[in-house]
Amino acid sequence: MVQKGPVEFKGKLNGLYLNCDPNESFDSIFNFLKIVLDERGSFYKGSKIIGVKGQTFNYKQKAQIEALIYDQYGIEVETLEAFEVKKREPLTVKEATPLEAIKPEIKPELKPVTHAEPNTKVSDTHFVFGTMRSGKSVHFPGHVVVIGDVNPGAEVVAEGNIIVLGRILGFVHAGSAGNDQAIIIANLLKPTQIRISTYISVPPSDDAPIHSNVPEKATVTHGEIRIEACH
Amino acid sequence: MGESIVITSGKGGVGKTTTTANIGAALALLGKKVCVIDADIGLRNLDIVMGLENRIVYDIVDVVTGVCKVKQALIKDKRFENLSLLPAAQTKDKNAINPEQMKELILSLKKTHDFVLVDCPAGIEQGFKNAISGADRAIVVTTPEVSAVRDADRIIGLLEAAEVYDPRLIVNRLRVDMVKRGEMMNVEDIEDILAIDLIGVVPDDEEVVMSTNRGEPAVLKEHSLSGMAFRNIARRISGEDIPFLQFDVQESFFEKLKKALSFGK
Repeated sequence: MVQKGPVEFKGKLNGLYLNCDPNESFDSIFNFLKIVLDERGSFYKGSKIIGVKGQTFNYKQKAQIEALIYDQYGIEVETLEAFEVKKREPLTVKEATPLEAIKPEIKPELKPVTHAEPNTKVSDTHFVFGTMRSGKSVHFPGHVVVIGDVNPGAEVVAEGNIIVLGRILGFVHAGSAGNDQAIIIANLLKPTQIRISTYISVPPSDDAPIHSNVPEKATVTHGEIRIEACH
Repeated sequence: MGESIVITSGKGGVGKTTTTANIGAALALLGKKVCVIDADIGLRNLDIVMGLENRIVYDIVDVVTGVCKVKQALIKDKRFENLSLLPAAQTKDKNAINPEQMKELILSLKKTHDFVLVDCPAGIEQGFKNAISGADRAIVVTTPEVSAVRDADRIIGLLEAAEVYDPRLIVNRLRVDMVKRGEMMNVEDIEDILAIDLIGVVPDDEEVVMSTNRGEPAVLKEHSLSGMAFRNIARRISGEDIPFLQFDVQESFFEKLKKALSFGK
């Protein structure tokens, strides 16, 4: 086992970041990195590096690290830019109301786009092309866009928003990780059951026509799910 | 080279077997050489509906396991020279054959027939997988019930996944009087959910029950509405463009009189 040194790997949901000691030189960090990877390189294989904390490397240093990490140990490098530790959304939906302290951030995570790494293939949105028929289910840790209908018996569960360019007649759950700000938009919202964050609702079983001219939006307002025309 | 069509529904009891027997007979009436296969191994019914139960010597399992030749197992229909049945085995189960064997069997039958109709068992398990392998086209049968439509929707999804594209829809057992009163789903509602092309609507008809029990297809009845619906479906399958039947409730004499007397209103 390697003892604690000037750099260590820290795991996040979407990858690893390098946590560096800000007072150490690049050489000592680089040498220690070699030792760590020698010992546990295969363990990290298949994951990716999503940033660096504590130090800022110049172009040459980055290339050196990338060459070591990617070429020798097969660990993908997404970026070696500064990594900010963000508060993650809570993963469980057990609690009736999410506590104030762990309330997820409303703003989508906007990062400045860097073109330094052309092989970034991260996406926050999952697209489903075609109608989702009974028995089809999509679970995704981001937003979901369905180009088609969601028929009864089909289900969409997303940690972000759900947009359906068609009708929702099945089961939908937006903000499944506890995001009350998640929204659901569809040309027609007539789900068998609708959930946003921890709220559950069943639309009234009226005989309203199953066609509408204006898209509809479901949000959580004043502690309950409301459906209104979307402008 | 002929064409193979699987007739499926997901839910049981919606009329797959009756539909298969009637479309088979109607296609034979049009002069096509037709073979109907009962893929419901262990629960064979198609032979009964066609009135051929007592003629069975060999069955589909005998054919795929090489006990007999395909030709020996085929049973010629009593009424149509060019219609034959390949019956299911009653003492085996769905695992007695596999999709590859089925594919091979259908391919060999397509060489000698214009149409090969496969009567699919209910459910989505092995029997369904066997029945749809080797199918060029599919016909999905449903009744105007929410549960049947839901299952049909799932089946259409599974057919797409199995690369059987562009299935056609038959709405069976439609009760026009109930639809008019708004107590039953109408055909448009069903089409709206399933989003596939309609190939026929068959009205609920006592004639079908009677002819099924007697073992003779309803298409033989000149004046039966359901028989006409099945004949039209057969003609659409063989490529003709036939308008859909317009079902109107037969008004009794008394109702006509009532209408005539109240024309001023």
